Amino acid sequence: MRDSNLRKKRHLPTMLSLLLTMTLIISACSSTGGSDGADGNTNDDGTSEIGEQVLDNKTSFKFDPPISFTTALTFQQQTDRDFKPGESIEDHVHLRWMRDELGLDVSYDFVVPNSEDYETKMRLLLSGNQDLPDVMTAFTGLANDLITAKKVMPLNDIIDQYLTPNLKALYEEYPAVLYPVTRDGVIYGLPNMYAMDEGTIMWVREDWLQNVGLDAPKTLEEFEEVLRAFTEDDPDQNGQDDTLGLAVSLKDGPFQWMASADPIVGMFSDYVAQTTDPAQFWHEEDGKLIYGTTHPAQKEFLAQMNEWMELGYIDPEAGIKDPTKAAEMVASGQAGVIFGPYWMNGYPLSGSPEFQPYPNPAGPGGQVGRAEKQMVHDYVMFNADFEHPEAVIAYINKLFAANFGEDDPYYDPQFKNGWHEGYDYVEYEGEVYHNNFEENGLPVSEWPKPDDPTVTYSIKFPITGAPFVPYLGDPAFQKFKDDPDAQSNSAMETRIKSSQARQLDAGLVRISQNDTAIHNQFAGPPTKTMLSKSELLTKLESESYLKIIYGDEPIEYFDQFVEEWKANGGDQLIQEVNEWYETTK
Amino acid sequence: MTMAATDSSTALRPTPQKRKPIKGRWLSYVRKTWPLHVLLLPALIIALIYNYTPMFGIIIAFMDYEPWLGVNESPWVGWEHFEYLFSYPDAKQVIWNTIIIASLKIVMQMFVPVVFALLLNEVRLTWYKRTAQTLVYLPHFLSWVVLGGIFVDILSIRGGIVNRFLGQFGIEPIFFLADGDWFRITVILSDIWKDFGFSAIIFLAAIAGINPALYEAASIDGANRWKQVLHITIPAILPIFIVVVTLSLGRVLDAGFDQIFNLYNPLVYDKGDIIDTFVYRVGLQGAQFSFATAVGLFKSIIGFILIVISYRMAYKWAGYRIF
Repeated sequence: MRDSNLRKKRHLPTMLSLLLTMTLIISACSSTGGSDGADGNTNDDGTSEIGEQVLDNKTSFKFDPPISFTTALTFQQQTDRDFKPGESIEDHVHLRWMRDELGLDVSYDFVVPNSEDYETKMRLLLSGNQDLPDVMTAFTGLANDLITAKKVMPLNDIIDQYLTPNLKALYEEYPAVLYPVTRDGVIYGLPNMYAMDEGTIMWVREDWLQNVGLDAPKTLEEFEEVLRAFTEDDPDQNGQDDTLGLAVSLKDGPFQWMASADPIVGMFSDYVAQTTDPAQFWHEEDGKLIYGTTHPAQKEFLAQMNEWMELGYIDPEAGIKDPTKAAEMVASGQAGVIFGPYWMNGYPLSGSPEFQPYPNPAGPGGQVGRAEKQMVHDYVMFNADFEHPEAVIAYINKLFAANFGEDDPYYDPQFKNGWHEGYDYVEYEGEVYHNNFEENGLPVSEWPKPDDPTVTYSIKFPITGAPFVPYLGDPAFQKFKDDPDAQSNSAMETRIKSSQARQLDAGLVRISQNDTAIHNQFAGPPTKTMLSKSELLTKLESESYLKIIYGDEPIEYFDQFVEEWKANGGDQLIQEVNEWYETTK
Repeated sequence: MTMAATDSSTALRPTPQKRKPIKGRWLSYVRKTWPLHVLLLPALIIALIYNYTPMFGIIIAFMDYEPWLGVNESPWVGWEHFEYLFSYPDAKQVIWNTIIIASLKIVMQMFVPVVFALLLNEVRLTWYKRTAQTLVYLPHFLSWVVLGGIFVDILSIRGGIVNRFLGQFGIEPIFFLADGDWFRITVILSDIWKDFGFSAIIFLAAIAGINPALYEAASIDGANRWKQVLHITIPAILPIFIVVVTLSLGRVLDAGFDQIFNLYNPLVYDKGDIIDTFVYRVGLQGAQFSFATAVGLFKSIIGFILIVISYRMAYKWAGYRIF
């Protein structure tokens, strides 16, 4: 009889009920205890005097007595290459440096392995009215909740007063990065940005091109011919019909982080199709924002993909494969073309030196385009009750200054070659090394990990992630392509200098097409319909796209799909997005 | 959550009715049995805290729950989320898919393990019996995250092992994971493959518990193996079989989130999308907690009703009480 209970318990707790259970326990336990201190005001005097005096010296400051603050982190240790023995996410070289050199004592309220857990945890703290960390990071959705709940600090004055001029200039150059965390002109978050070096390029198998006697494709016709030859002309010359043209992942829509189809979309129009998120991609047309996925121009893209699918040029399983699975096709020598970022040089193409990077081909009208991913990863926000935002801003300034170089007032020369000697780089007899320690003749005692010359430790930054600045690294690709031994002048340059030759080439290919990048022009907080109808709309989109590509529905079905999309919330979505757009003008 | 609670409440009922003392002897009864009650107390407290208290969470199904407002301040909306569920364009399809996939799984999980246990019981070679038993229950311990990737490979239409095998008989490659009908078959077969060995353990245990004297008597009376199975083994494991069936009927809206989630794709949404994957997309990706809870509650109530019905049926027809 015990058995009956055991049996059932296996089946009952779905993820959701577990989550809700936790929500309720925590809110039930704590709703009485929490005080309602969040009225949205910062301290009137703003910042402490200690902070001001210390910060007079921008390049070298130390808070004494030390300033302690809490934060929270998404982190999962993957391998033993994450930390030196004895170190951990709570105690590692960067945190020690912050404590000993800057007088900033960081501790974690919680560390969770993935971003879903992070958001759940934060939402639980919110709903339980419990103390939030002093410094937080949040994606747009959570940031919206935090702002609505009046739990985070307005930052306009602090930005004016303390932020490095280089970051201020960056926000002015890309004003949209602040839109999601701005309410009535009040800014509540600082964006953590991407390096924006992941724009899609085309990787083609060079030896297959030679075997079938073709050049890398520059136009749609040439591209199609290459796909045909790779599928039908036995490019690997093994006498078997075991190859095809394009490895691509269509399971989650045409725009993916790898094995993407966005350059094919970009051959036909300036409108990006993305079927999994109603917040992407929106494009301005006649002063209004329109939704890329339902734009009639996508019919050409879909018709083309359908044709290639029926001809067998595309992996027939593209519709059930995620990007990782799709990329196995090229790594295993079954497909000869794949679209993806420049870093595919390292993974998954490290074992396939035959693949070379090429610019995305042009469409029928000479059109070239690629989808550019969003610029902001997440936002740094301060608890409304936190007393020393200026100290954390000073730390952030210092990190970013390492990338901006010596013109930045906060530039600290100690970061010229990397972050922490003996971790992410090694200095030996006047030379700086980031990898290949054994080949370069460094003694074992100098290797970051004495028993393994392939290990360099990446630095685990507690608030900002790796401090990237969009497009800032681009000039360095050419610089180190021209002269691999050129002097590196910033942390950003150092990172690029350590790239392999093919990766530099790939980066340059990407940079050469930066002007074809298509950006999403919606950058507001999620609208009401985005939250409530997201499932319905994205399901309709991804289902319709795949059915047309697979020929289950004719291309005319597209119009019917758009009608349905509009009727099921699309019209509302367009209206809400444009209401937001009006507020940015 | 509702189901978990029902389950524990009946299982942990402190005093079975038979032993209830007659009036007036209450005190002496307590004096005699209090250590047992104390022993029971921790389990009761745990059940109260972890199974009953969280049940109050279902009230957010009737609210417009916002995390920053919490349970106390979120506005009440009554049945709105339930009305929305049934007016949702995909709701019928999703519920229907769930019922089809789950009932076929239940039927398969009802009979395949029993048949396997009966067959294995007839095997004479002990080493073969043990090996087979171990091998078939191993897949139970594999995660669907891992198996999802493996299945994409072995069911591939480009040289996947299954299609190569079918090709030997001149069958055209079948796109198992992208064709709605084949997807359902794949899901059901792979589910039974993964779990029948583990489910068979309970029947093997029941068979092992049968008194050998019965078989001896039967063979003296001239019953062959087949007759012995028919008249001894099957009647002996019938009670366990009824328990298993009764309990599994409560899962008729539970088609297996892990499995579907790791195997499905937009091409098979119309035949393969189930309530749980739907709730995942709406509730967790879209952060619609109240709506997701409403769907979960709906599922639990249907499951509860079915368990009660099948329990009554089991009692009426088989005279068997589980609780």
